[in-house]
Amino acid sequence: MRAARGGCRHRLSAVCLVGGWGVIGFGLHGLVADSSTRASLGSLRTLVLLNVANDAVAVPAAVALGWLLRRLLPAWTLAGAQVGLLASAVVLAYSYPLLGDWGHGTRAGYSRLPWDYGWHVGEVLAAVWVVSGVLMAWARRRRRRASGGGDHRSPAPTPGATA
Amino acid sequence: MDAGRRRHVTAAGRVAGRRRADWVQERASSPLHHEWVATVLGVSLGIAFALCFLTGIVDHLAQHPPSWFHLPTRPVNLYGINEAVHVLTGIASIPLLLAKLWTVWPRLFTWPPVRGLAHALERLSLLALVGGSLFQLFTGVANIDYWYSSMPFFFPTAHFWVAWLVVGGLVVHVGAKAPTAADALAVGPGSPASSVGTAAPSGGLTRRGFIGATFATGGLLVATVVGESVTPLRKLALLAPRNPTVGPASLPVNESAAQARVTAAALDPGYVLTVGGNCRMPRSFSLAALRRLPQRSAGLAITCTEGWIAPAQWRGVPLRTLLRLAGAAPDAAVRVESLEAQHRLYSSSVVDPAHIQDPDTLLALELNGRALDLDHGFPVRLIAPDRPGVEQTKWLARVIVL
Repeated sequence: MRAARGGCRHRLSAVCLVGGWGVIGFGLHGLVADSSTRASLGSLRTLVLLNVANDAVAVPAAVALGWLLRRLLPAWTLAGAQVGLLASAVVLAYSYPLLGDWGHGTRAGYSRLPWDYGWHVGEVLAAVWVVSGVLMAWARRRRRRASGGGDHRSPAPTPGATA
Repeated sequence: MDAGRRRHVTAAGRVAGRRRADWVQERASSPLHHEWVATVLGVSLGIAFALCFLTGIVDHLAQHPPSWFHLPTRPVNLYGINEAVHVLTGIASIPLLLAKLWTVWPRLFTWPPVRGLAHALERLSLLALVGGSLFQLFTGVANIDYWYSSMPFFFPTAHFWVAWLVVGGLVVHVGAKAPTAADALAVGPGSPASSVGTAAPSGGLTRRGFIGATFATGGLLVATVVGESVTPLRKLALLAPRNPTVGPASLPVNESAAQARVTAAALDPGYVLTVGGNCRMPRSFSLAALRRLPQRSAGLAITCTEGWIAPAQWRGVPLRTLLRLAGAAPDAAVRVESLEAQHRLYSSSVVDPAHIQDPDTLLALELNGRALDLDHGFPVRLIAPDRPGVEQTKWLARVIVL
């Protein structure tokens, strides 16, 4: 039974490997051969750069920040801080081009980008941190109830622990 | 270097590599770097990417239609729904992708890095999957925010072809991880995520809390953008690149007459619209002559591939009426050409017979009860149901029966 399941898994994996690489080959061919793509090397370079930026910069920075927070913040603030940082990072990653105002360059119609995005991003981030604050307050109350009062810092971190 | 010494150096390198991998994995360890978290995020991303891919294919075919592809004309908001789903699903994928990549990052350092040809191909396909996913979301956001200078390539086709890389990488990934993912879902989040509430006993987020926060962040982004597609929610659209009511005649404009360099030709009192090509009675119509023809009103939205949808009330001459006057065959297609220089992108478009025969396909002369604004295509523009905004050609000069 287990051997049959193992064989089935192996076949699925093999079919997906061949099929998936076929689709990747199709996409690569289109990227290189489609004359309207223009500068297909530019798109491949961007793809690799984004991959490297994520794996070598963004994620290690997030891991390091998590490691630091766990050592510096009281335990009851951690969940709220994590929610706030996650949501803020995503909001800023999305709105980065809006804040940079690069869209007002050439060929920009005047009805494009109609808002004061700095202000709006500030409003959204404020809402995020209000929610984070509520989560922190809630966690603190629960912890106080559970322990009968008093403040607690994070438990002594295990080596390398982060979130 | 003799063989014995070479063996010794290779073995030392292997040990050092494993130590490096252990060091990274130990420091990046967290209850959230967990198989169940990776699986839930992966399945959600898979569904979101599948939706994005399918709607993206429709979008691409609609913008660059091959001869065999025709969007139906009904329901009139079908293309708009497709675009809104495409853009909003893409935006909702941002936190899912970032959380997923964070969750599985320690696995980059598994040792040995490659365990055979199949494993090497599977790991190599991650470049297509991860790099391609980041590329799609980055260029998608850059495009809706008009940050064209960040893309040293033609966005529509690069976005289209890289989507195939992502799908290919996804297929390989599903084949490799499906059994592990099924096991992880069967086992569940385990401790400490099974504790009720947001915070784990150590104080940080539980696994369920982390998933919930990721989904909530996606919801927050969608909520701050959806108003550009759903007009009644426009006041919520704090981070949307468009407000569907801002523009001349309360309708956004992508390219003004000045930018298209048609102002003088469009305002020329001697303007005429010619109807020619494969028809029995080629004709020319002045603006006054067009206004004397039977008119029809239609409520149609301008739907941009960037995801914004702006409903409006149009009035003008049905295209089929004009073609009947020119003696065109009822099953003929036409190409409509703008006053713009014809080498410019989207300066003309082809209208298929089904759209021509639709009574709501108009050569519009009025918008929202007023004469057509110059930036909306004065003196005459095409407006038809279920066509991308770039194919609703403005400042018409010619209608050529094909």
